[in-house]
Amino acid sequence: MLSKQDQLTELVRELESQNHVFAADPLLVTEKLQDETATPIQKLHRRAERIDMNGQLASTLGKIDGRIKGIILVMSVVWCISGFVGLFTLLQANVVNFFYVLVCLLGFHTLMLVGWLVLTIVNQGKQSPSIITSFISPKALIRGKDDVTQAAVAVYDRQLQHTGMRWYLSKFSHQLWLATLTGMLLAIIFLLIVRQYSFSWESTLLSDATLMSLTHWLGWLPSMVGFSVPDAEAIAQSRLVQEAMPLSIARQWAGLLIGSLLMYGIVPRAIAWAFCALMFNRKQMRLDLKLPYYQKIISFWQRKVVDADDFVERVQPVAPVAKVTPGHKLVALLEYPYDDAAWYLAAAGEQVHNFGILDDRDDMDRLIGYLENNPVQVLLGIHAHALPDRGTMRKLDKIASHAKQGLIVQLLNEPMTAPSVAINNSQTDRYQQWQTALAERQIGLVSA
Amino acid sequence: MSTPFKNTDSPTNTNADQAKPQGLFAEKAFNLEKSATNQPVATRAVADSENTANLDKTDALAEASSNKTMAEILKEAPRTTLAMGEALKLAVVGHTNTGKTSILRTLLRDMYFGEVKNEAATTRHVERALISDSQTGEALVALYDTPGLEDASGLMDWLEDNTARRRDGIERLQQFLANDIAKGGDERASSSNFDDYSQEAKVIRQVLASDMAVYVIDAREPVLGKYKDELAILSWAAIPVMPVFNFTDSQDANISEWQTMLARRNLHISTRFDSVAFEFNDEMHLWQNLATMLTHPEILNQLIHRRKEDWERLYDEATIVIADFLLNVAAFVREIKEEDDPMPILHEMQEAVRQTERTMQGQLLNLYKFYDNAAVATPLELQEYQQDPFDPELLKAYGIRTTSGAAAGALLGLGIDAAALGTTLGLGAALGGIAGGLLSNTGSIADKITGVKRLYIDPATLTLLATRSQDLLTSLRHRGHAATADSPVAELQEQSIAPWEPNKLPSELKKARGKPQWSSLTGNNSEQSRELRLDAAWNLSRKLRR
Repeated sequence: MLSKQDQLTELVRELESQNHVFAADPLLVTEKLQDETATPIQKLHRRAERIDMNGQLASTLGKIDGRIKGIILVMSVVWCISGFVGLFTLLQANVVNFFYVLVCLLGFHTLMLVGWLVLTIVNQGKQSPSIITSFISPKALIRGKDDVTQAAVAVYDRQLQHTGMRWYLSKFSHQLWLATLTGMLLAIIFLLIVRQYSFSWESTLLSDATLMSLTHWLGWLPSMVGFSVPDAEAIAQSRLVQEAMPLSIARQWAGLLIGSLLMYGIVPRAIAWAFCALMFNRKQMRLDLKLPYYQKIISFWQRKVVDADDFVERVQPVAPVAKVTPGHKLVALLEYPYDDAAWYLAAAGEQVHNFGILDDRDDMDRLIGYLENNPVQVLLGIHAHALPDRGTMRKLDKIASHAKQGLIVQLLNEPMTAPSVAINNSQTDRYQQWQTALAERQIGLVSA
Repeated sequence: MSTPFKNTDSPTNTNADQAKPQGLFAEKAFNLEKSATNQPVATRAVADSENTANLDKTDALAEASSNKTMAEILKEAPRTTLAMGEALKLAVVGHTNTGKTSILRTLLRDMYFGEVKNEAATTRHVERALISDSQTGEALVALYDTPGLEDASGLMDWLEDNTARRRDGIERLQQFLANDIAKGGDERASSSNFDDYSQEAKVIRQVLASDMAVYVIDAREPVLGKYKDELAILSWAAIPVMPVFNFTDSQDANISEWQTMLARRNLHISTRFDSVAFEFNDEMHLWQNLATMLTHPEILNQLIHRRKEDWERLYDEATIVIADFLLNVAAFVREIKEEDDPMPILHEMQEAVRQTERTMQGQLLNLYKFYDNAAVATPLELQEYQQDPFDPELLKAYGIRTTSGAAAGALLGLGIDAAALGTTLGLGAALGGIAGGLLSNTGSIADKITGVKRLYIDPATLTLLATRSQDLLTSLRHRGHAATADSPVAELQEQSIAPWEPNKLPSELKKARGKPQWSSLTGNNSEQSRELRLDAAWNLSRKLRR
């Protein structure tokens, strides 16, 4: 069984997955909890409590819990009374057949206890038995109409499926047996107080000696804790008694009866009950934090930007600064046209051979032919939006290998019409891509 | 086999002894097997030897190239034709950074397909994505995302230098694929960076294996020499090619220039398809244009039919989601005692409506396969809801006037209608008139006796919620799956016209006012209340269509 807080957390999860409308907005609560310091599980509990601002979910859970506890209590009382009444009817006659009564008192109980023990050992670690589960299943007990109750019932049902639940259910059955045995004990004490009984014993199949030694052995444990048990003489006298027997002997037999009920009935049951309670506490069901639902929330709490990103990346690696040689120059635009016809003036001056736009393969052949015959430095104007892809870079390499005075590159920016952050970012990115590509080839870049 | 140079298609038919193809340098690229003495063996000669160009160069290349026969190559990359029951293989090709992967994302309605970046060579692999019939599950179209073509001009140089002009395009491309420069990764012998055409090889290999190709054009780019080379190479593959313009926003000048160039290359049909600003009709045009290029367009017609159906059905579902939400809010009622302070209840109601609206928005996003809610403009910051539906400023911005002011009194601006059916019958009657019979009579008479005040969400807020939901839906219908996840749904910021006047609520919403059991916000069983308002939601959804 989950703890109260865990149950509430699970209920919130169950409802949130159904898009339930809560008293407080789960997203806001989650965000507000980010800054609080606590363990994740504590924060999850707090989150559930705050989402359930008006306590409606908690009260629904409390209602179900109360109903289950109430049912267990009522059943215990009923069992107790039935034990009392059962023994009351059994002990109507004044002469009591001792072994017959003892078997009625403890026979079925002992069988069940042994059966439980065997099943527990055999079924170690398995699911709880479904018969008992359905017996106290909240689905059978509570007919929920609204979403919250249905979800709460589902949460309870899921707990019943848990492995630890078998101990809870065993504990429950032991508790009922204890109630019955207590009822019987009360009945015996009551009857022995108000009536005088004679105890007899008889047998068709077993010999007297066997029954006498059996009585002796039976009396050993009660006598250990101080109950007076019949001695050999008393046993011999009690055989086939028909009328009132001496009070001292009757008291001895009564001591044996009560002692047996206590030592062979109530004490083993109580031990089993305590064992189950212990095992149940050890196998306490916990929140499954591995669920994506919880992981999402926890990871949201875990990360937070403490110091905003204000880092401006330095362009690395930087393309070498272009060295303008004193000799002749050829200027060309790579592929894209450019509005400013005199774009090269600042870098190369007026004494240049203007090649125009270098686009297709014919242009390229023409340029290479020119470069073969004229020792010039080439200034290539490249549109800043152009991609430094493999094809473009191959062209640059080819020109660089043919230009006898080397190749330098000028990136031409579009005159900014509407500067927006997005455009700016993409331009910076592209500029960096060019820097990297040019640095790799040691081609000089004319600073803008 | 009359001459030693006659075609021997079967690779088993070796004619190493007879063939001394001194003049057939071009065929040396297809050695059946490399002999120990490097003696080239011709296995396939289509024509007599009249080839004379580039002898030395090709000879050298032939030595380096693979030792496969043309027949083997053809076997490995069989030209497939569209067979019945097979998906149409459609290669998406184009220059690098033109948005091929973006177009695929939008066509597939999958915002997580591939990787998209503003740089060269983002996609370096060929990836297949199937479009299936949504009803039968039958695969209709297999789209292939390819790496971008980066150096078509260089490849063209190589092809002209190293392949024979008299061969047809496919054969020349096969020859390229068999060459070392077409190999990538560890297979490559030489490490020179500039002869690396492995990316182009991937594209060409895929194009040869496809039924059709879509050539993606960035409409912002002018017509350049490299693009012409790309189209020339694609035309060699001899499959139908459909040019598709991406990023078409206000690029008409460029597009007409492009169309002129394409027409000169016999590509008379082209399609606009913006992967970010999505238009469903553009997509239909794309499929229809592709269908015209096929002799058996049944499969594409089936796809068109199904996509139209799905699109329509999606719209139906979306409007029903909105209608259901509106009815849920309209039926939301809380009762308080006449003398009680309404504020705590009002805040609870506002909170409930906010959460419900967000849920509805999430449903719409999921319906249109946008799976991260960062795209919705519902702010979840700590400070406040910036677009709180209960913000009176927002009502003004949407041009919605609150008409029930007189009745709402102190509660005006909180978006809640108070039907105060209190002590005096006169007030009750007046309210009855203003509310326009929104309240069921039995309720009001009982309320008069018990002195109960009923709180509703007011018509102006309902109208605002309806308008906002419609705006969201409209923008989702025009949002391509290539849009970056964190870019806000643009149209949400724009204010559009309300579907109805706040004082003329549709009859379904009016009816909902008298049916508190229709609302799941009051803690009813949400399934039951949804079923109760199902019919009304369907009727209302008809009125929400724009």
